[in-house]
Amino acid sequence: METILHVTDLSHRYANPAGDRVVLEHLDLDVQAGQLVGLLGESGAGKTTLLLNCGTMLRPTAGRVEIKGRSVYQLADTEKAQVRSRQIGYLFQTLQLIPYLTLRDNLRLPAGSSNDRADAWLDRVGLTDWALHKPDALSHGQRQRGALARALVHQPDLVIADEPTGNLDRQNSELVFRVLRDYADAGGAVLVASHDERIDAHADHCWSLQEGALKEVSPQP
Amino acid sequence: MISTPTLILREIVHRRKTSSLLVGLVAVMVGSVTFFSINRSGYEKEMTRNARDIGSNVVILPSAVDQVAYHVQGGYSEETMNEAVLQQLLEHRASLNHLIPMLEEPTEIGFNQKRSAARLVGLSASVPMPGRPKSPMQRSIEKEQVQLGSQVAEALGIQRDEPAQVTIAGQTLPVARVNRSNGTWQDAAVLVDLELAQSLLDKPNQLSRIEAIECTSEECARTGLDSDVVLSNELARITDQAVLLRRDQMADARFNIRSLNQANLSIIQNSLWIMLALAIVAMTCWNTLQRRNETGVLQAIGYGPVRLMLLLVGRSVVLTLVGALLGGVAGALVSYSLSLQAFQATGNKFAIDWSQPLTILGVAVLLAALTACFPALFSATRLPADSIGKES
Repeated sequence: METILHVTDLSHRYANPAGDRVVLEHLDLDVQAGQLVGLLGESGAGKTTLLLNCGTMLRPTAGRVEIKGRSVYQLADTEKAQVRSRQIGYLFQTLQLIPYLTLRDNLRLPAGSSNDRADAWLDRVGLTDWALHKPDALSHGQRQRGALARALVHQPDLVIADEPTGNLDRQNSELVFRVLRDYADAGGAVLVASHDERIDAHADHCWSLQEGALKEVSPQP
Repeated sequence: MISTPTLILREIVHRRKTSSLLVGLVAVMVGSVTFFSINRSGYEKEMTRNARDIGSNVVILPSAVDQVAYHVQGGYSEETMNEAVLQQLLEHRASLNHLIPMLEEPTEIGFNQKRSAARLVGLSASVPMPGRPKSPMQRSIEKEQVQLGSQVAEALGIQRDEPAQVTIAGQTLPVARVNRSNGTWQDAAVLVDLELAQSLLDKPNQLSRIEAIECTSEECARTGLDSDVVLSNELARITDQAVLLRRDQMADARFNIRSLNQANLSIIQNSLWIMLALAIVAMTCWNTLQRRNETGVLQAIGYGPVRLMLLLVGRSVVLTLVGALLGGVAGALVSYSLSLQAFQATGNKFAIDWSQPLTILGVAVLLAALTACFPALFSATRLPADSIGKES
């Protein structure tokens, strides 16, 4: 299987007048095509920071992040934008749908998207009837599924989802996990951070982030 | 993929209150600058007309004139000069304008049985200096007719608008009109066409004086010399047949009024331009920084720096363009509607010079584009998490 995400010796610390706070320390992580990798951890453990580092959103303090063999933080701004545009689909914890666009238009934002693709993904996450509504008119669960569809609509090599089931009921959580699992089964690489331990049932590998280090939860080493 | 113009328009419509506020701010500022610029043109024309109507401030006299006798006789001399002097002044582009050649002599005028002393003055329409076209300060006198000064008409018992024929130097001439009293020698004058005066007085091609308005500001600024020195030097180079008499107080007052007005108008206009620039800079910076989070999201989706720049700059340009169009048209129309009241002498000829609002609009849009570039560049080249916030 092709390695889509390859993280080596990654560290991240936040500068603080009271002393730097080390969040990630010398981490290694691989996600391959066809894999769904889960990331568990307490709030503030650094899951989001790790996902941002992996998604070319936040430069790590040290270490290397490669996506399909390219060290992304060594790329120029335009090339980084191309990587995000073609190879990464990112689902933010705070969803970040554009408030002045309808759900369908939010799905048309990524490069290579179209009305047909947007409609197909809205159908997949059960939001066909809400395609022409703006995010304000949707429930949190609907917005969450919409944001998931936006992360997948351009068929990226790597999907990164930060708490994709936060505040969702059991039924919607199952739907979200199933969609991500199906995406991985279709050949995509998926990295998911979650509080929800049901991720374990869908993930090929599950890691726990504790005190800046990764410990494998499943399958048991 | 959604086009950049669609994103810009959707966002503006979605945030219509904020957008309207920004458009309104630009409209008020552009409207003020436009109103003032157009009004300034009208104001300067009005000032020029009023200053001109004060009268000539330079007199060119024959060099043989005894200036003591000239003043003792109330501004009159029998000496004359050849009217070629006028052509020489024009050919050499002297720092003068509105040149009025005149021939004058005391005479006696008769109407029915009454007779009166008068000053016969032949003059032609004011001659503009080549390259400095102006509307005539003095119009020509009707051929073979006379205009009577009010005191002369009263002495002869001729009423205004009364058809009458008067006798001058043995020639009978119809009265074209009786002029209103203006408290000067013109009340005792009989005005005729210059050629007629030269014929009646048997002084062909002769002039008693040439009245004019000085136009020395450029030359004074260039040479650093006073106006009277500039004019005297020029005249000495052009001819030895004439001397110059400058009505200093009138000339200086005209110069000072115009300089003071120019300075004040410039201060006001520059202040308005600075306020417009500051408003646009503040508007574009705020407009761009306010959308930092959205910029980060679009970056995360894969929007490159160029497209983000186009989006952010385009937004500022569209808002400024709409505001400037509204403000420009409103400012121009308000100027026009107030022009008749504001400019008594020239208001009826007031016309909107649309190049002014167009220039202001162009500058405002350019300024918006330029000032949006810097915060846009800053936003577009950051990493998405720096714009959105790190969340946890």
